[in-house]
Amino acid sequence: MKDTFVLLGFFIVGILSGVYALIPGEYMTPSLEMGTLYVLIFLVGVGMGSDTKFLQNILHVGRKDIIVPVSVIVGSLLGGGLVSLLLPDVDVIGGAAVGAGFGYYSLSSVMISQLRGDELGTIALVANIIREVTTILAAPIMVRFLGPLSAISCGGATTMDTTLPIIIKYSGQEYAMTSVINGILLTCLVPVLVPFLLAIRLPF
Amino acid sequence: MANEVMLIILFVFLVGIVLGYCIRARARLLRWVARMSNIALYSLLFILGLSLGVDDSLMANLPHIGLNALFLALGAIGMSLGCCYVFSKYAAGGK
Repeated sequence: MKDTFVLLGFFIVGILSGVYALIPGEYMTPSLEMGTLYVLIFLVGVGMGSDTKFLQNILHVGRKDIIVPVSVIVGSLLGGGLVSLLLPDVDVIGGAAVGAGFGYYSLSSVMISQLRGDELGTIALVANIIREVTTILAAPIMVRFLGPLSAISCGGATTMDTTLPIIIKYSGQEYAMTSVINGILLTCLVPVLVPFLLAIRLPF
Repeated sequence: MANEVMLIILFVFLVGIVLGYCIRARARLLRWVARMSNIALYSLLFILGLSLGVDDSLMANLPHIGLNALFLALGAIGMSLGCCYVFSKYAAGGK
């Protein structure tokens, strides 16, 4: 949660600097921002590749471990896409891409803002923070009515770190591994799936 | 354009993973990588905020943006819960 506040802090200080014209916008060029995004994604990859636990977990994924991440992928893309039909400002692909953040709000929001504009990027930031916060607040209710896997599916990519403690507490210690594997698989998929979705051009 | 960007992102991500695996034992270098990736992330979120802040029409639209985000989040969460419930029932029944 502390990280969420730090990241939101940078975002909010950015807004305030813009509103009160503290920083002349001309210093930032689109190509510089895009370059920073590539550097970020490269470094995220280095972090994942160097994490041996991360790789070991991926190599030992069983069929049973796939159920939750597959539900999250299908559910998030479908849910985001379907809801976007009701929203005049968001198209189907954009809605699915916001869903494909899986709660990994930092990377998904900066990618979407570079690929699709600042409005959808901000929507992705807020929507995916809501996903993380909902997991933390509603885990006990979800586990009670929909079973122990439900909280893990709600948490999406966050279930390997930020929401892991709450899931262990309410789903139970025996779901810790399922939760970590779910988080790892979805975290790896975000930088692949989001740009992939946004590259789709619908014929209508 | 979008296709090109997608390929660059995928390529850069994969190269990062391979390189990360090669330097997995170099703790000091990896700490530096973690710090740099935080700096890149903070800058990009700051820039996202800044581009919102200088754009009056986006700022006026902020409550609307929040509402869109709320609905999309609820849709993604709701369908994930639903799929998880159905898929896990189905998987348990299949055994």
